[in-house]
Order: sequence, then structure tokens, then C-alpha cells
Amino acid sequence: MEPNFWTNRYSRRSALRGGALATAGLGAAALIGCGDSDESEPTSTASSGGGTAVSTSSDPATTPSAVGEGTYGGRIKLPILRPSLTDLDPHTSLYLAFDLWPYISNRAVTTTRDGSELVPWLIDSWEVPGDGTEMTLKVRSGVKWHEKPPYNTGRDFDAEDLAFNLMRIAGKLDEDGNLALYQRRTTLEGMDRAEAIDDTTVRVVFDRPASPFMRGVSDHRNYMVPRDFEDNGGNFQDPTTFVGTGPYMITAFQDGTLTTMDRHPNYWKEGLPYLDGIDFQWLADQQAQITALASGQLDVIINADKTARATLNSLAPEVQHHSFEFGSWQHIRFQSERPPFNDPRIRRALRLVLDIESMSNSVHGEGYWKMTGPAPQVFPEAYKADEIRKMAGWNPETKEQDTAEAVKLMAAAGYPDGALEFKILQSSTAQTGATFEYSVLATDRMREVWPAMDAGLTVPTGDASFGQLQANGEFQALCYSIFPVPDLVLELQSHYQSDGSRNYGRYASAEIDDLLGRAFVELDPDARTELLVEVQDKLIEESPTAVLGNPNMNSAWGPQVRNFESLGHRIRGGHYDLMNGMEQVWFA
Amino acid sequence: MSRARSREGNEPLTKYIIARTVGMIPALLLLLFMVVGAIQLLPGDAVDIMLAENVQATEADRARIEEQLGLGKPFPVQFAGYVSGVVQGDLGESLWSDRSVTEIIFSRLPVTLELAGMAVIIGSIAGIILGIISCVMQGSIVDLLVRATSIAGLSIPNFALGTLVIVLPTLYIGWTPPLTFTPFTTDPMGHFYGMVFPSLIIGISFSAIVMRYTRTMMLEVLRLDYIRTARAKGVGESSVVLRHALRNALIPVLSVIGLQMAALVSGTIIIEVVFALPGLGRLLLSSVDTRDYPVVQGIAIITGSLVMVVNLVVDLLYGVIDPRVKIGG
Repeated sequence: MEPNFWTNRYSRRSALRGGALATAGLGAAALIGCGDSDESEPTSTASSGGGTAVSTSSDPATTPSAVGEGTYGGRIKLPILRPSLTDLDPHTSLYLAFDLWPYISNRAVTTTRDGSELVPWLIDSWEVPGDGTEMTLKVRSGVKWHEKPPYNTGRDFDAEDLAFNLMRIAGKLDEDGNLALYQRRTTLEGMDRAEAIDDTTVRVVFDRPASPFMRGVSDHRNYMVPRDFEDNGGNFQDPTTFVGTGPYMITAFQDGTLTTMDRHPNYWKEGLPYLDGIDFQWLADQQAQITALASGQLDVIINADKTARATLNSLAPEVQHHSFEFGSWQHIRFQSERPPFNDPRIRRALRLVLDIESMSNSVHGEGYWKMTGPAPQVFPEAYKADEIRKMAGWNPETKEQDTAEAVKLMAAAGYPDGALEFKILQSSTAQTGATFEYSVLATDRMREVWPAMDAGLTVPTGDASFGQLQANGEFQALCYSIFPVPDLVLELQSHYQSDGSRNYGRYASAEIDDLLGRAFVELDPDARTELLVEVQDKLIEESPTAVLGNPNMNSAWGPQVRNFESLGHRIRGGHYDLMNGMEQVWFA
Repeated sequence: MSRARSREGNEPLTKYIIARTVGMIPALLLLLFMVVGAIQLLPGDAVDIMLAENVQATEADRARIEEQLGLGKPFPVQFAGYVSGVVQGDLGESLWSDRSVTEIIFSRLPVTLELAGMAVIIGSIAGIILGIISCVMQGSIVDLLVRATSIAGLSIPNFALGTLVIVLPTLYIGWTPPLTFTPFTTDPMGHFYGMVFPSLIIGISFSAIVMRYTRTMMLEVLRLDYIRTARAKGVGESSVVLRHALRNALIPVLSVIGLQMAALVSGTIIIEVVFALPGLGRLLLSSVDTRDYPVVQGIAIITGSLVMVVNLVVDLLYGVIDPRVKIGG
């Protein structure tokens, strides 16, 4: 079989070294001859008692050397961060279901830590026999569902299960035709159907070659459920009926009160998990979580921001901290359909004046974030942080020149004194947090450059009102934080293609649409990467978003927990990766 | 008392109770109208959240989901349909979980009632005792301290007090109050231990209110002629205060306790969040956030009914405390 996008190990830098660029993009000259492909592991520090140690990274999906090294036994206490859990169907839920599913189920595939290779999980192997319009998937043998009669007998995960899940994630099995509810259906874009042809083989038929498909399958929220779950009386609103193939099984659930999980005795990863189970504490208040961790009532805080870290350092210096890169990216998105931000000169001018390094150090703390361009730098095909840092707008050393350029652009757009009036709709309802802080710093900076500018903030009244305003494009500028999907073509399509599912700013460019459309069907990795570089260059020029940073995922662990340093993934969903990784931690 | 006279005495009371109960209905309807209307005025609904990251969702997609959830009808039609259901004892189903609203609310109500009840008991006992002490020692340093403490109790918000109670002991003495909820059936002592601290926090501000009213009313009553007479007849001071004065002073204090108790049922939200208690307050918070209208409406009906019942009970208790007060007479 010819090596292709799904089988090659690759990175953008190696692709550019080996191939010829079609066009000299904005940063192309800086990229050629950049040295080895970026195989550097995410920054990960495990600190205990105030000291720091850089952990050696290991791929969470393939760590055979770690299995058997740990101590078996014990139950870990984890937080559930919501006051209530509703919307628990993993294929329609935006996020609430993922306080539970990462522990009890698996995904079909995952990727290595640097995102350059796909790693088999419930899919064992795959082949593309022809022109890319068909694919065969082989199911891993020996994977057992949880034994939970009457919902499941503990049978094997088979090809019919896989086909069922692929179709369901894509929204193709909804009897009411509510395609819109299937939040991750675009991760399987291009798939026409998936069908089991025997117990272990699934044939996937595409309406066109779909280079993002396998990475789309690896999305951190595409969990597998049994095909006969609802037929056997299972209920997606009752977690006590949930069945998965994952390391833990739900044994008790009362919304807002009690959730416990016990280890799956027939888990397909031999030797895992180490822990006997998980006891969840429902703690929606961050201060309560911090205090609970400090006093031993919790063993982990999965998302410990700057304030939490500082508080823990004084309350409980023995708590261990773990920080790693992941793909979430914070940005200001301009409403490109209407004045004033339909003018790319104005968008670019505002982007150029922002002091990204200073802002991000203030919001996240130095060393807890990375520079990123319009393509999150965690993707293999994206410009890396050190490359982005040299570019106009991001480079702190050229801020003066960038600001002068911005003033000229604004004047050319008809605003010599920058007398625009607009508001940034930021996602925080509590007037705290990263998007709020970024918005305040950004508007302060803009007013510093253009004192006549009237730039302010809008604080939404709740998630529902923010969601409505965002989805309807009812904003002038929007400050938000987004988890990427695991493939760069899908990610850029969703944000920048004219009909992209997350193109809230209604940015439209025929050139971008064409480039992304070609990248979608391009199975040659080098050619695909070249197209994506062109897209990035164009987006930097057009500035539909002012990208602010790529924050680390920071967690805090009790002093007795071990092996959490091996967790962390550049593209997968940050804290979801930690949840998946609970199978690998143990107690000292 | 003969049976005839007993029946005669009970009849006005029965009529009074019936009249008050019937009178609750229009009040509840008005409450429901205001709550249902208010939440629908909030920007965004459940469908907006469901389709939050899906710009590709069309108007047809949205309309289909709205129809399935019963949100597509005009407000008067929705309201009338809802009231009709309530009359038949059906509070509807959650938009997110399809669970019966009645089941959801009654799974959370006991925690809130327990929290509010413990706070009332702690606050009432502490408030009355402190009020008496402050009154009897009027003008002394003790009176000054008690009044200053009550001002502090009224001024400090519950959430601030809750955070201090959690953080300060952890920082200085290495002890933390329980931050997770233990069901009674799992561990009764653990359950009680977990409820004491949040109840104390709510009880502190509650006791401040009760203390101030008790002190004021006691001072007033102690100046009345019958008290002077009792003292002149040689009745001991403790008897004067506790037997003669307190009973009369308690009547308005009881009214305040009743009103505050009703407010407590909906005022426990912050403490429930801080201490992770699975009560009605937390449920209300998450339901408003997710625009789960049936749950919000159901909570409004239940808490509104509770407030009215509590007020009725308080009014009836007047007749018990003060025989001169004739209920329904």
C-alpha cells in the first residue's frame, strides 16, 4: 500500500524540508531549513514541595513499560465540577456528558502525544484499498463491554458496534432527523456510511476522499456505546445503566450527590487500571475544590488556574502540580460580515497592536502558555510557537513598528484617529477568567494606541445568552476559548470556511474555501501540508481572528498520587486527557 | 368544654384555614405567570445551548427541536397548557433529562428543607437567647458586644462567611469542614456533621435578625404597666422576663421568623454551591443557567406554596401563643 496521510508519520517541518512550497508564504522563508521536525514533548513539570522537575514524557496510549510498575489498589477522589449533570448522551452532549464518559469508555483511535501519528485503540488497523473513497477498519479483538445485565452481558466489542457508533456520531441514525444535535458529526465529514461486513471488519464509504477522517474519529469526545444499549433498556439519562469498554464502570449515581465507579475487571488493556475505583465529589465552587485538595478530601483538581495554583502553594505546598500543552486556543473573533470589521485593514490593525506576550503572561503566568497562530501550534502542520513569535503582531520586539503599521492601516481604512465604537462579547458571565482578562487588556491597549476609540466589553447573562449571541453572530467582536478538533483541516474548516460550523464571525473567503476544500480531499501528506501553510498565511494577512494564546492545562494532585506526569496531550481535550489517564495513575 | 361549644370554637378556624388555602390559588397563579414570563424574557433558551457550537444548524433544525420540546408554541398557549398540567399534578418533564420535574424537585427538596430547618432552629434559639440577654443587660458592655455581633452577622454575606469558614481553619489549624455531602442513609453521623457548618453559617445572619427583634420587643413589653404590677407584687425578675414579658414579645418575633423561614428556602443557593449540597437552590441555579423552564417553574410552585403554608402556620400559631387572638373569629 502506498504511504498516505493516514499511514505516514509526518510533521509540517519535515514536509516542508522534503517538498517544495507552491508559494512563498509569509513565513515560508523563515521555515525552510529550520532543522529537525518538532518532536519536542510538551512542557510538563511535576513539582512537589516547591521544587520542580521536568518529567519525561511518554505516550499515554502506548506505555507498555509503565504497566505493572505501579501499586494496585485504592480509590481516588475526583471532583465533578457541575451542580447538576444533564445531557449525558456522548454523541449529542456539548460537554456535560464528559464528566463521566472518559472514565468508562474508549475511543476508536487516538494519536501520539505530538499528534503526528494515529494510535489504534478499539480500531486495530485500517486500510485504504483504492482511491480514498473506501476504507476498511479492523476491530481490536478481546475488547469487552462492561458486564452489566440487562444492559450488556459483557460481550465483545465487534464490527457492528463500531459501525453503529460511526453512523450515530455522524447523526445518521436519528429517527427524528435532528442532525443539528450531533455536536461532533463534522468530525466524520465525508463519510457516507459505515457497515460491518463481518464480525471484525467495517467498510466505510465516503462521498469523496476525506483526509481528516481517521483523526476525526480520534476526537476526544467520540466515545463508543453498545449498539444494543437502548434496546436492552439502557437510558442515556440514567448513568447507572451506562456501559462502556473503559477502565471503570459506574456503580452508583445520584445527580448532584453521589457518583462512584469501580474498576472494569475485564479491561482490554492488561494490567490496567491500577486503582480500585473512583469516588466523585460534587464541588462546583473552585475555592471549595482547592480547600478540599489541601485537606485531602479530594485527590485531584483537574483544571487549576493561576489563582488556584497560588492558593495551593500557600495552603498546601506538598500538592503536586502538572502542566502541559494542549490545543485550546484563546482569541478575539471579529464579526466580518458587518462594519467596521468587514474591513481586513481594521482587523489587522487591531491584531497588530496587541502585546500578546505581555497579555498572556498576565493572564496565565509566564511559562504556562504558548504563542499560536490561526492554526493552533499543537498541530503538526501548524506554525510553531517560535515561528509565530517572529511574526508581525506577535513579536514583542517589533511592537513599535507593528503599532506604527497598525495606525497607518486604520487611517487608510478611514479612521485616522481610530474612532471606532465596538464591544467585545466575552464568554465569562462572572467577570473573571481568561477571556474576561484578555478582553480588558485588549481594550485597554487599543485605547492606549487610539484614545478616541470607544472599545468596551459585553458580559453575557449566562451560557444560554452567550450561546445565542455567538451562534447568531450578534456581536461585533467575541473573546472565547475553544478546544480544537483533532485534525487541522477540520479545525480550520469549522472556523474559517464560509459555512464552517464555528465560523461565528461569518468570515468568507473564496480562496480559503478553495484551499481547504482541496486539503480535505488531498491524501498526500506533503501536498496537504503545503495547502495548509497557504491557508495559514492568508489567515494571518486577513486576520479574521486575533489569536491570543494557547494556554497549558494545569492540574494539581495530592502528594500520594503517582504517574500523572505521563498524562497530557497536545491536541486532545486537555482535562479529558487527564480523565482518560486515570487508568494509569496509582497511589504511593 | 361541651362538644357543642367545641364545634362552635373550631368552625371559624376551619373556615379560616379553608379560605386561606383557597386564597393561595390566585397568588400561586400570579407567581407562576411572573416566573414563567420572566425566564422566557431571559436571552437564549435551551435550544440555543443545544445548538451552541453549531452555526450550520438551520431554522428548520431549530424549529423541529423546539416543537419536540414544546417550546415552539406562543407563550399564552404554553402557559395555559402548563397550568392545566399542574392542576392535574403534573409539573412536566425536564427539557434536558426527560425526567419528571416532580421527581427531580422532590429528590432535592429534603436537603434544602433540612438546611433551612436547622438554620431556623439554630438562628431562633440563639437569636432569642441573645435578644433576652441584650435586653436585660441593656446599656452594658455585653449589650454592646451582642449588638455589634448582630450587625456583623447581618452585614457579612453568606458566601463570604462560607469561604472564610472553609479557608481560614485550613490555613491556620489544618482542619477543614466537610465539603462533600453524605446521604443520611449512607452515614447518619457523617450526614449531620456535613450539614452543621452550612446551617450555622445561614443561622448566624438569621439569628442576628431574630436577636434584634427580640431585644426591641422585649424592651417595649418590659415598660408596660402589667410588668410593673408584677414586679410590685414581688414576682422574681427571671419570672417577669421569661414568663410574663417574653410570651407577648414573641408574637411579632414569631412573625419575623416565619417570614425569614420562607425566604430561607430560596436563600440557600450560595451555601449549597459552596458546600456542594444537592438542594433546591443549586438545582434552581443550574436550571436557570440551562434554561430548563419546567424545572424552574416547578421550583417556583413548590417554594411559593411552601412560603404560603409557612405563613398560614405562623398565623395559626398566634392563637396558640396569645389566646386573645381569635383566628377566623
